[in-house]
Amino acid sequence: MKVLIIEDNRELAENIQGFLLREGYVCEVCNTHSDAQHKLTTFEYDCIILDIMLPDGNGLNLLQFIKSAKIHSNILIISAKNSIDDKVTGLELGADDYLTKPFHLTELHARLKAIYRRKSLKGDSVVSFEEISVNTDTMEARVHDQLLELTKKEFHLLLYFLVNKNRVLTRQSIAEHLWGDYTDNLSNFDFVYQHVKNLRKKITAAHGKDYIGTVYGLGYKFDTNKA
Amino acid sequence: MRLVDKFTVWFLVITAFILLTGGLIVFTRVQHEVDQEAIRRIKSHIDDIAAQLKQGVPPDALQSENVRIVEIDRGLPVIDMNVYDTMAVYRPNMRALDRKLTVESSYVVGRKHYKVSMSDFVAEPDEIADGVTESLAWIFLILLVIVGLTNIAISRRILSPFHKTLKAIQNFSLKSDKEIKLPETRTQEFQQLNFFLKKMTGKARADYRALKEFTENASHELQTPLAIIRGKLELLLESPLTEDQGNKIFSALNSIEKLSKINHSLTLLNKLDNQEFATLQPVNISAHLHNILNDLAELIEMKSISLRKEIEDNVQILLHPSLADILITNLCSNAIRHNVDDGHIFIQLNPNHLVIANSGRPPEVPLAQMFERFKRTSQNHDSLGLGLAIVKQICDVSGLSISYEYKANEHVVTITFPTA
Repeated sequence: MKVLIIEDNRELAENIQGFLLREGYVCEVCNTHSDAQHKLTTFEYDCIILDIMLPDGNGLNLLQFIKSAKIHSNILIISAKNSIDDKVTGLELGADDYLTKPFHLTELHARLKAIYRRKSLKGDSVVSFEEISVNTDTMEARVHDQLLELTKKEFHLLLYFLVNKNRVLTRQSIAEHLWGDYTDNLSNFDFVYQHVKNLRKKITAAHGKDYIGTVYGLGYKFDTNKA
Repeated sequence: MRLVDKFTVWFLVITAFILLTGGLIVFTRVQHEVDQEAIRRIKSHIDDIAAQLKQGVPPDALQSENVRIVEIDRGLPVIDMNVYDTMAVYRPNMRALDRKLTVESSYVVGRKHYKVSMSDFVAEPDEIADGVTESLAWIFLILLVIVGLTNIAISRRILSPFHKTLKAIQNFSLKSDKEIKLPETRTQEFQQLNFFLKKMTGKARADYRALKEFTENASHELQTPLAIIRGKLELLLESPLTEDQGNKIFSALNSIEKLSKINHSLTLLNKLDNQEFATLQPVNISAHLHNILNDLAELIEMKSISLRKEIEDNVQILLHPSLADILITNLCSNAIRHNVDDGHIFIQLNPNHLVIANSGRPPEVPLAQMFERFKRTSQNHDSLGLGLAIVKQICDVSGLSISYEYKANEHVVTITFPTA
């Protein structure tokens, strides 16, 4: 997957780039509006990560440019503004999703993948690894073709793990992924623990390998190298 | 009392005062003129009589009902003119007394000294007073009617820019992008008023914009470094770590989480303060409540909490949909968090109110401070202490009233909807 990161803050752009490079994606970064315009007209990208607050022009204008230039990349907006108006305008201008800073890199990746699945891999709504497969259309998860009885949260959790294989998923990032950011509720960690425990139980009960492991009590990891 | 009415009252009071003094002056002047005229007339009669006396007409021939001629001592000084003012019966058959003026003068004719006196009836003071009062009363009445009518016209015409200005102020909103529109006027005071208003509202709008920009910038400026720190720590997690390092990263991430949530919540509170959530359409609160309870079902189950619902369908409330979600989510997650194991939650929704009651330990914060920012019970270090403040603020801006009480080991939050 070829990704263009349009973000004026170099450090943040570096973070995203560093994270996505490990997925084997081709990542390019530009820090300004004009640079982005230049790159967009010259090359083609599968996905664009766009900060809508740029020093030399509003990112929303860039969105308009992308739309008028008929560039069919998937667009994920990242913004420090958690403003409903911006969100609505962004989505109306053709963006595919909107993520508010500060985000978890794993969440960013999950959103990026979701857009990619939805738009670029039309019809291919199955995410799979070895014996585990997840169908995002029918919301069904199977192990060795055996249907798992998962709750909605467990299903999203499994998908989150599959998208972020071999990554440490912190309990905070899982909690936010499952419950959103508007709860003034930081003690969801017990629930994260419960959900992960249940998910692992259900996978092993269907004779799947127990790929999910704990990382120093700070989070979990879907380890593809696990026996 | 309207301004124009005040003017009218003052005008009429002053007019009444002037008419009263004016009446007094008119009365004395008229009385004086009447007397003078009468005296002059009588005096000329007396002079005629004196002339006839001097020509040798005997005094008795000249006497009549009104004229008396008496001979007086020669040694007495000559009387130029004396005036007496008496009350007398005008005619024997009329009982009422009338005012009678008597003028006397004396003349020396030959060797004799005659005193001639003549009297006449004149208008009485109360008759004059009656006339004056009546005419003044008419004047006052005419003034009253004319002033009353003109006031209505004047208040319509002269005060119309003022009323327009009032309306403009009433409709003025800080949030609006448009400058306040004040009517054109040639009245100096209103021009001044409009000038000051324009200046004031301009300043208020500029301040509001600055505040809004600051809030947005503060949010922006904080979120980006937070995103960077979080990203760096998450990248650090990918490298091999000892358990101790991992724990340190975990607690650092936890603090970032907290900081970011506080930031989110404060920004939200600011937006609520700025009334940025204009509500146009009623929201189906029943549907929102069902959705959120669905989302929270697993949390409720995990804590072995029993949930009892009495939710009426299709309850419509005028509330911003995002605020409805935040409100319900905060209240429900509070009910779960501040619960005890094997506790219970009772939720009731009908067109009048939403009640959320849950079992739990008594609150440690005084009831009055329950909705203040950063007030929280020590049992929950993970709580930000902003949840209820946000709930309160949402209720305030949306015209809902909220109350909290603790009774029979239950926390009960009641939100009363405005009657439509």
